[in-house]
Amino acid sequence: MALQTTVKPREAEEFDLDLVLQVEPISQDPLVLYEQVYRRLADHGAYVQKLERMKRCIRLNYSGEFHLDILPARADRSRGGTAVQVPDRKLEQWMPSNPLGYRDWFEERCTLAVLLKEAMQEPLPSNAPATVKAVLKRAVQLIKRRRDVAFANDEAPRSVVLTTLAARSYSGEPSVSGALLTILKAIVGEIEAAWPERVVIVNPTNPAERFCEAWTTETYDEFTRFIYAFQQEAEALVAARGLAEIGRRLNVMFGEQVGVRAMNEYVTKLTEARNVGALGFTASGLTTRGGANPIPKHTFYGR
Amino acid sequence: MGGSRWRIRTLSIYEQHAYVSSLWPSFVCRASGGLLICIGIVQPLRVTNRYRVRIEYRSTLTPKAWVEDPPLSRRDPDEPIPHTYPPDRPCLFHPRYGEWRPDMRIATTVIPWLLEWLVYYEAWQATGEWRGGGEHPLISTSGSAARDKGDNA
Repeated sequence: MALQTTVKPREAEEFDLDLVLQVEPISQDPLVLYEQVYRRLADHGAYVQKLERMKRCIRLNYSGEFHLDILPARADRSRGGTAVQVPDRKLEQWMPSNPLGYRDWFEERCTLAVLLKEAMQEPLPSNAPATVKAVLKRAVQLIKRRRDVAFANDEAPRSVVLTTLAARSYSGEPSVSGALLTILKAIVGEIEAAWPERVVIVNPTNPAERFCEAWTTETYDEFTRFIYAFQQEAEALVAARGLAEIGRRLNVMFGEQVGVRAMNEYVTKLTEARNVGALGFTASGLTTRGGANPIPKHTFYGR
Repeated sequence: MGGSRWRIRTLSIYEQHAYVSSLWPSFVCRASGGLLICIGIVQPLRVTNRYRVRIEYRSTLTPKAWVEDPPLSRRDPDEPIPHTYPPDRPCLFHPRYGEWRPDMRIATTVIPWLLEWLVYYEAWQATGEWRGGGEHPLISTSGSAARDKGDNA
């Protein structure tokens, strides 16, 4: 949904792309629109073998590579703006949605860090990433990747649920780890505040669209266990010391030797600084900040 | 560094002691009987462990450094930690390149070198690769030392 939070699929997983096809339907019947779009796609020889009817969208399967979910939609005149209605095949009715509004809302949440920075009138810490706007997007990617590693089945919490929870809890932290801790703590708080009911997650730009309606008692329990465990892991990760220990934790949390790769990149950057004489020392340790004492050249020796 | 070789003024262990104490408040030093011993807690980077380290220096010899706690550990019992003298004392400089001279301060050379060594040791623990460059006194047919590829000459 153009949120720039796509997570690179892990082995044997596919990219998942969403497309909203907004039209002016001739019929008031949602199923007529759905079938019209389906038939139009099926007319095309290249697509007919790849089509699959889903609950609301039509899936185009490029097996082993990606799938494209095409969501037929019509303008929601009663709500106006970017609000739309989409056919639901099971309920046989129009359901409210607002993907474009959602995207704008998400972008707005992403710029929180930028706005806060301007309000504070002071420079961000030097370790802040170049694109502060990407902090929330990075945090959402981490949450989705942790989900992909934790759930092998279809019981996994939906991306839109995790994204909405993350974006509404984010409060402009300039670092990804800070954002992640804030978000997870806030979700735990929401779960506890809602108990014994469930947390309700709606499209903030169209409260009639409930993202959480697919939850059952079992899948909601799975979701809460996932969040509780993830929060503890994230706290422990941030507190961890030692590159090997941090790498091990990252490997467990995010899979595919991510920790090893992260440590490699970290050391590469540090070594680049060292090679140009930008790594110095103070009484508290090594640093790449200016004004530190230079370290004379030396050659590690021995076996 | 460009001073004439025959004019370098060797720093006494008392001068070394004073420099370490002023630059590294976390170190405790004792100089007696011609031997300087400095023990301190260091944390090379915010993300690395804290270590208790020990430096010993007798002015006619080269300074030596040990990591005392947590003890250094191998990835594999048969694979020694890179850039160490047996059993596991970090090798911080090349003995024949004049990188250490007795007119230098331990506080601004050996200690930051040890901090760098600890970072690359931790990175090696995490990835299996030594990324800090350096040389090995390998026995080779040409008799020349092998130079690590890559990051640092």
